[in-house]
Amino acid sequence: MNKKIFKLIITVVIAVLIIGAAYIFLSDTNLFVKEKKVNLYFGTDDAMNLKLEKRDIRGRNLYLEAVMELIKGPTDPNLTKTIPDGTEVLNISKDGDIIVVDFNDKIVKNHWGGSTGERITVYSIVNTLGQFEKINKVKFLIEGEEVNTLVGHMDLSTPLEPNPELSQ
Amino acid sequence: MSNKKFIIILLFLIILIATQTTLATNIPDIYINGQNITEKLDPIRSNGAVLVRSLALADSLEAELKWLGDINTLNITKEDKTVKMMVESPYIQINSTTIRTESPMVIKDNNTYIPFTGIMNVFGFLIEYDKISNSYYLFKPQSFLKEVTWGPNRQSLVLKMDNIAPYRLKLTDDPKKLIVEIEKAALEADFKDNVSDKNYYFTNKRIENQATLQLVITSKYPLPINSDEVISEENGNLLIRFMPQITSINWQKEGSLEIQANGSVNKPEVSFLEEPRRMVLDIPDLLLSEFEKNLDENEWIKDVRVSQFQFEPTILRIVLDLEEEKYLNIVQQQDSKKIVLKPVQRARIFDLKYEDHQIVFKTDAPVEPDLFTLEDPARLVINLFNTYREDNMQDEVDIKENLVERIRVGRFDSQVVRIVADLSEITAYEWEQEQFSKDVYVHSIKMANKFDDIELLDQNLYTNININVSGKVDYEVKKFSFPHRVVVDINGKEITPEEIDLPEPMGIVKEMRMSRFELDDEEVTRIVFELSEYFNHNVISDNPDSKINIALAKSEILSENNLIVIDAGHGGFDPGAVSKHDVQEKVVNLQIVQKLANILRSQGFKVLLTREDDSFVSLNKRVEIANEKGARIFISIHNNSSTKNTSEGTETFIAPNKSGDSLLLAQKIQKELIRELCLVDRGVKKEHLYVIKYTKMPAVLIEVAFLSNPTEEKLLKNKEFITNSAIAISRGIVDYFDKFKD
Ligand SMILES: [Zn+2]
Repeated sequence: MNKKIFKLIITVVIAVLIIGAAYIFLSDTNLFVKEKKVNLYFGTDDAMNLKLEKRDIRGRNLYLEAVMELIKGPTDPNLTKTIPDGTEVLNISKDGDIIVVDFNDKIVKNHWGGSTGERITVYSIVNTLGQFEKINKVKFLIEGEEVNTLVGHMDLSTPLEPNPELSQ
Repeated sequence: MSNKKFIIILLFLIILIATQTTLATNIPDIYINGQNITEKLDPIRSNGAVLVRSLALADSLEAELKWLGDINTLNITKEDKTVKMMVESPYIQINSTTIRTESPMVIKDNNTYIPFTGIMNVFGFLIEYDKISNSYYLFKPQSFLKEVTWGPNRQSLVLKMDNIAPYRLKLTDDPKKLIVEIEKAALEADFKDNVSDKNYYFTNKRIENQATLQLVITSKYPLPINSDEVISEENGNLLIRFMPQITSINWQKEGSLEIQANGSVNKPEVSFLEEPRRMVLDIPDLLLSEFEKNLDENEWIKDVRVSQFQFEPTILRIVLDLEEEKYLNIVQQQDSKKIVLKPVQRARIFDLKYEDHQIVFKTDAPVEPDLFTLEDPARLVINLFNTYREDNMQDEVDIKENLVERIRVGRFDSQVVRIVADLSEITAYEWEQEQFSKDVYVHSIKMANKFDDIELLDQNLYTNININVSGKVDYEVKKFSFPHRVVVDINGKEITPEEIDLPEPMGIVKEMRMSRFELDDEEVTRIVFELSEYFNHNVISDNPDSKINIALAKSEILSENNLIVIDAGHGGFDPGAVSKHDVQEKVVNLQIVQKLANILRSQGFKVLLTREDDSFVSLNKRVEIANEKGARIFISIHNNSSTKNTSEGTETFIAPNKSGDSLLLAQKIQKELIRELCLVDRGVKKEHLYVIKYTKMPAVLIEVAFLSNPTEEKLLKNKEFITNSAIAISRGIVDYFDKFKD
């Protein structure tokens, strides 16, 4: 066999091995990024309903990334943001079919209030997280504590199911 | 060297030392298991958080470190735990959970520095921070919590631990919440929570800068705990004890009734009532639950009813509907989880006499007599159920003492022997039964009234006066003004003139005094209650009675019927929505509520407000007020807000778990509001809003208009608009009540 060809084959094989190993290694880290299209629910102009905006999410934790995208607000100028400025997710975990999201107290302190305002905030989160497989409910915590309400209207003492009527 | 130069150098040195010192105090010392490893970890500060060199930390932890430069990511692996973090992100991923740490990872001098307390927590270290010495102390947990689960019959919570560390229970103001703190403890990796469900929620927390594990148990209902012996150690676990529950009431073939609980039962207080014949057992510290009931065919008991008669203290009430002339008695029981009742054999009565100012007689079986006094002439009646008198027992005992003149014995009916003591005046009595020998029970009845105690009880809506006397007394309650006072006069002949401690003034009672005097030749004991304000009082006890109970209303007189509870949203530190020009929702809500209350009162409705001023009232409290007062309807008034200033209109909410009357009420109010105010009709909506969800009566929450909308904000500042809103809502309410007329 021609030495040159032999060398070439060896090089190709090694290159394939290296790329393969790198691929396996990187995908194993779980950071090698999962990209996924998710539905984010934002408020409509009249605060009557929620409307979805599709967005690509890259990240390690879909639930967290989805909520972080909600916090960023909509790109569509006809939609309204649903989560107050300064809000941060302190902890997010899955417990059976329930996602438990723990927010800092800015979600309360910087909230604009109103039953409608609160309702839109709560269901923008619940309906967004409710789209994920095997998730049926969302439970809210503030600074690690159970709460009866966010800003004085909604009952948050029990986990909430998505409200499909709000996001037609 | 010149002086000038020297001073400059000195100043320079001082500044240098000063900055060095501040830098030094800013960087904390770090100890792991008592060993100072500050130098090795090279701590730095970034955004106030302490970060340490990742390589050194991994080395100390004996963890594996992997740097993925392409994606700016660092992985730290130890055993089955991998922590992934990215430069500049405060979020770290631990296996499948993501948490936020105190600071993002930073790169300095080609080294990654990672958030110190966050990472050490993840790897199971407990951290204590000492402010004074600016030192962190890290420990490995000394005990692990393996599982939280229910004890047998859900009667206790078991915290399974590998060994018990110092612990303490923290009772909170919230009866639905319990906190247990365990020192230097942690959750085991595969910790199991077998407690959280729709009624219970278990969570754990670290107290910042302390190596203490905090466990929080929240329940939907008040936790049935006995605050004395809540927590204890048992088999190396911690046990949080709940009160026992009733599990069954069964008629046994051998002819007895067995009441069974899943824990030990206290001695019940027993009373008998006639017409229909009932036996009432009040059992302290026992809870109602689903229980098995089987009465079979029996000739003693027709039916059994069980209710949670009282909380705080907890009392379970069991009412046995007895057949005519039948009688049961509690039998002593070895098994502390059981109460056994047996039909009573007819007992023989003998040896009736009067000695040491006491009526004394004997029976050959335990007997619970029914004692009461009658007037004109004054006499004490002792009914002994299911008994017969010894043949040679005398019919009469003549005494002619001060109080007791004569004792007569007769038969009341085929089952009951009646002993009557003729008295010179009505007096209290105390009955006692003592087992003398196997078949001899000695009964003694002592005569005379005395004050047991006087207590004041301050509640939401009433201040209660309770005067407890050992026997029934005749009394009169009078109200005087200038200053407001309520006077209780008790016929003095009926009570011994002894002193009694008066309680601390409370609620609207600001002072008390007691005196004894003669009125129309009668001796009277008078108790005066001076009041700070007066609205109305209600004598709840009978006359005569042994427990005089007077309720003093603390606000407008409340009638249970047609009571409307109106709730002004928010208040106190919670302003609700705030408009661009600083109009606060809580203020507008209260304005509308006060107008509405006036209109409804003028139309003859009873109205109660959950808040009358700018004070904070929790959602839970608002619900409690409406439920406790048994309101016919509940109206919550709010004003709306949204992120866009174009959102507008009026809407009314009802709870999804209610419909019918709530929906009707909401529709009536919404219709009137739209007609009157001419704002956009957002309709009647269903939503899980707290106050309308947990109130037990038809309930609506009205969002009158949007404070975030400039046009509507202007309207809400206008008095006429406020009045018109209140008028419209009142019309809706009247319209709703009209539906129930004839
Ligand atoms: Zn409100």
